[in-house]
Amino acid sequence: MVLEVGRVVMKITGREAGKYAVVVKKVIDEKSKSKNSFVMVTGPKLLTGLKRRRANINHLEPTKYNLELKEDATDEEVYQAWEKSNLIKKFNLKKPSAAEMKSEKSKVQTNSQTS
Amino acid sequence: MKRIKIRIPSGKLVIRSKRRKVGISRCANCHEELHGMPRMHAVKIRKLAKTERRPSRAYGGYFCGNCTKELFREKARVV
Repeated sequence: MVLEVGRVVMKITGREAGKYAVVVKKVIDEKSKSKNSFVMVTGPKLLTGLKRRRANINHLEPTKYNLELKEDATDEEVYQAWEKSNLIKKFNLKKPSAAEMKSEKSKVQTNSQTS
Repeated sequence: MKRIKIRIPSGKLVIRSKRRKVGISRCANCHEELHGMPRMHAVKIRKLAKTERRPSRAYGGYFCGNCTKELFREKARVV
């Protein structure tokens, strides 16, 4: 399968069409029990505009680039992996400002506390 | 405005004007009919919410879904 963990992909359907994402893990579909129809992807949202979500592999197009990631990596780890590669410049992505990063961090913390 | 003849209750034939139907919006690439687009006059469309005017996809209201898909597929392969 081409869509292994760390593969940089582009979403080609829906409101996030044209945005880059990274495959984080494979998802087993509960209905059909197939392992080859869904993957978990994340931009992360601050960098590419695509939030962490499950996506059908028919709605993704792989690029030739790979990021070094472990399975089920957090958004922060994914962001660091983007920074290590020189893809941010290549794809013309806009880096989030420090204030944005901070607000996102506090959001994540409050969410985890409530749940 | 289109002129039409109408027979009024008194039996007279009179000329009234009627608005023409708005054409269906089509994909700029394959000329397929676009889904989710209102078929109204520009004045009425202005009163709608922005989300009701076109699909929220990139190139929504300009390219159809399949053409957008192909476009981004090509882009992802080249990059």
